[in-house]
Amino acid sequence: MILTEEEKKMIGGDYGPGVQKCMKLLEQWGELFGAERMIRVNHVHVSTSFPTKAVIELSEGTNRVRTLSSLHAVYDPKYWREKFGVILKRLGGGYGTPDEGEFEKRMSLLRKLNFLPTFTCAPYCIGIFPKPGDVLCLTGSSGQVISNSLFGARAGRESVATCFAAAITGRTPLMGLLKKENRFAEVLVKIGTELDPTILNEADYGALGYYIGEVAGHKNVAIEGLPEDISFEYGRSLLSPLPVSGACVLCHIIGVSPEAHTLEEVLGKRKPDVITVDKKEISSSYEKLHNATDGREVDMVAIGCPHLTISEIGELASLLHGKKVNQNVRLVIGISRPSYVLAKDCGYADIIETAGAIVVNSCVGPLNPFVFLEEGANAGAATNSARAAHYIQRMSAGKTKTFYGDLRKCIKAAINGRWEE
Amino acid sequence: MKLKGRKVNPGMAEGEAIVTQIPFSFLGELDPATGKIPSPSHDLFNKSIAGRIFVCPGGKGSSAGPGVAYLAKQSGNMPKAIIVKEIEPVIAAAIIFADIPAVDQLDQDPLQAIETGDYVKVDADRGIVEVIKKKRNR
Repeated sequence: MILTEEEKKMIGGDYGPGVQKCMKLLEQWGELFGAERMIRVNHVHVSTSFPTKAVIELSEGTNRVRTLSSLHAVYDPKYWREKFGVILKRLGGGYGTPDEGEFEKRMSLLRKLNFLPTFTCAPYCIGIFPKPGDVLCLTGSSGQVISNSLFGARAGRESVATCFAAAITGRTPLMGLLKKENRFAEVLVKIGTELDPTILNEADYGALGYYIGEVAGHKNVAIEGLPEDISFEYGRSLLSPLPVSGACVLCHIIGVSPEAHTLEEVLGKRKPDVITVDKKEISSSYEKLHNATDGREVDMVAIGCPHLTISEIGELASLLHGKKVNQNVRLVIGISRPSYVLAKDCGYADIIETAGAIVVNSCVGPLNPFVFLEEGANAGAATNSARAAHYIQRMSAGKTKTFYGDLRKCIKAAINGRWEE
Repeated sequence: MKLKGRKVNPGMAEGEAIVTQIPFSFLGELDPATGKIPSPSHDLFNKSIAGRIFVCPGGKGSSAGPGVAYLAKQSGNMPKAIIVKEIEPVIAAAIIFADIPAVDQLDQDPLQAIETGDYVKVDADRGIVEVIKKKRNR
């Protein structure tokens, strides 16, 4: 790989062992994927669960990140103990830390390095807004697929280690989806004759995305035949399962995505694999995402994976207005703190909280703390997020069964304590 | 049988192979405290990959993978080496960051050439994998 003078200094250790380690990691990683040089990064987003020891190791000898760096949704063990009486032995298969002291230490290290305390999986909702062509290194595959597909920014298939290294160096290898020639669609999805996309709800879109991710694997996707006025939120529901059932982080929605005015533009004379999705494919995803048996009690309803937009918070408030959450149900809502402040000003937050919902800036999907409660084992969880359903099943080792359906059904379940089709 | 491929991360290791046919995500599919695979739908459900030679088609899923791999390494629950049919960026970052010997792009499909229980020697520096087939039960 050809490095600039500055990058050579970084790898040579002139800026300390942390920067050096980060640059070495990025160089080895980049070379495996044919990168010829590094590129400057506009925004980095890092998981707060990155092990403290790793944070120390990769930042040794440096005092500041070298680009705009924000932090992912958080599990703050002290906050969860004080506010909800939740004490966990383990989180995320041992990934997040339940240790209050270690958490404080890690956050203080990250704050000192100038990571912004954004604590959300959806930084684009709170003013960290990419423009087309921006280079992003994002933890959280939902942020990657959404930034690529709805914003036209360039986000590679990153990981927490390479993101952290990008924050410390301000660089990432120019490879993969950061290069225009790698952004063409390889799989073309057509909508079948029995499927009317104008009547799909967010759970249907999530089921559709879940199916497409399974078929596409790591390939780039284009979807033809969706409404050009599809909402940002429905777009998100469609996109966010793609890197969960598969490893796809770029999906051009023809007529919607900034790089996808026409099919020709995204194919670039390539011949894609063509698949057709119809009602039957959506149903097959529902069968996987909804594995709770009929009549089973709903213990938890998880909404906000990814963290809700202000429109979704408004919709939620209208469904909860004047209602009470069932005493046997935890209705847990994932909202970033800045969005919560806006929701408070709108009057939404009071309606939601008066109804008895629990609003958190934690993850309500893969690292949902309630899933890791000992007594939470063998529970039933309802959600309108395909991403959350997938991960709640897996993170609980299959003990938590999931109910999958749109927000209306989920809120009904939260109020009645039962799932109704 | 010898397979020749590409170094992903340097090092040498040998041990018993454990093979999955499913692209792997460290988050959700490896418990770093036990080395076991907790996902019931996985073809290696409840089996441990710790201390084994792990063979998989590629990576998938959450970008948190390398953090889990790092923790598994700290607690001694990573495989001794990883043989991947074809790496993708997240599994590659996990392998480099946890510093596990690894190869990919072998001249034969490792998912067919290697079976769980085979004894495998990995020389990642030279990109060489030697497979000693387990004795078959009749």
